[in-house]
Amino acid sequence: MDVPVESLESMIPSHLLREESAPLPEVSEIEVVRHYTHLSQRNFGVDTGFLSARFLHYEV
Amino acid sequence: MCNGVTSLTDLDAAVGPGTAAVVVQQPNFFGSVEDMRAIEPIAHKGKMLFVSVITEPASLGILAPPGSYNADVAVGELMSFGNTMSFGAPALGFMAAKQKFVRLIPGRLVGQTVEEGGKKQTGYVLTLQTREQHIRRERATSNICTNQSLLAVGATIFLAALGKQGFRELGELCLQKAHYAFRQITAIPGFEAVFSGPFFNEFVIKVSGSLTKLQQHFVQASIIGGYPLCESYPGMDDCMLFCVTETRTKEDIDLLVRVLNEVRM
Repeated sequence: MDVPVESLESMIPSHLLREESAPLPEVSEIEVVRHYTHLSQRNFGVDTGFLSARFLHYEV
Repeated sequence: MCNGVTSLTDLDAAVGPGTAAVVVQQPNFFGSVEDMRAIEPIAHKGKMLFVSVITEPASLGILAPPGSYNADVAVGELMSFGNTMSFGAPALGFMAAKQKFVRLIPGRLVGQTVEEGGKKQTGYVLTLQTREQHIRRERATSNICTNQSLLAVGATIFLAALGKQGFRELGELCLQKAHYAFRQITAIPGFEAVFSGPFFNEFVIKVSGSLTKLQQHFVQASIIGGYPLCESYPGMDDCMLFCVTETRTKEDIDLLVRVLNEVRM
């Protein structure tokens, strides 16, 4: 934080603030990178294998 | 409106038997934080739906989320989650609803399951897709016409990298920087606050001089200045909406304040 900090409650009344943190994962950056890199490699497509016309069914 | 937020008495008078839903943006167009808990009982009179619109999702790092004030539907914009501005596009949005409305949501729902036997791997399947997508064709309510999956994955990775603490800090950065800018700007004679209520990272400033002259100074200093409210709100011709996000530094804000000081001189 490069600006002078004021208390949260002085800016926003406490009844408008969230009571609990958002339910987000608590993981390291490398774990995030590994997870999504792994997911990207599980995708099957013409870059990774044989792709017949049967796979090209595309719904709009 | 009353002091930059929804007037509860006006809202109460406006809703009636013919009202389908009450839609409230949080924080609203002026950046002011609405008291959604006070609006909720009015929005739930009769069979009305209470819809919450979140155009700046970073605000959810510190502000109460739609579920906590009993909103039926929450919709919003997610560009600020790790996506680029790219001159206004592409963008992605989100839509969430209470469980009882799930079958009315357009689109498809992907469910998570576990494989039977063997490795018990996690799998994802299309749990809910309306038949009309296959048989009603152009008359269907839920066709998927554009695919913003890449942006959605980007936003998901952004949130995973931030985590619980980081997401809260994102909200605090926006809030603290915007309030610093607000204090600096309103300290300059000729620039005054229009509303006195709480705001997140946008605020309205009334300018005593010419807005056109101000815009010219912004251009000379390579700044895209505030949004002139005359374009959206007649009667607020001398007002400008400012926004400060986590991407702005103290130096950026100080430069803006310097330019505003020069205009005054």
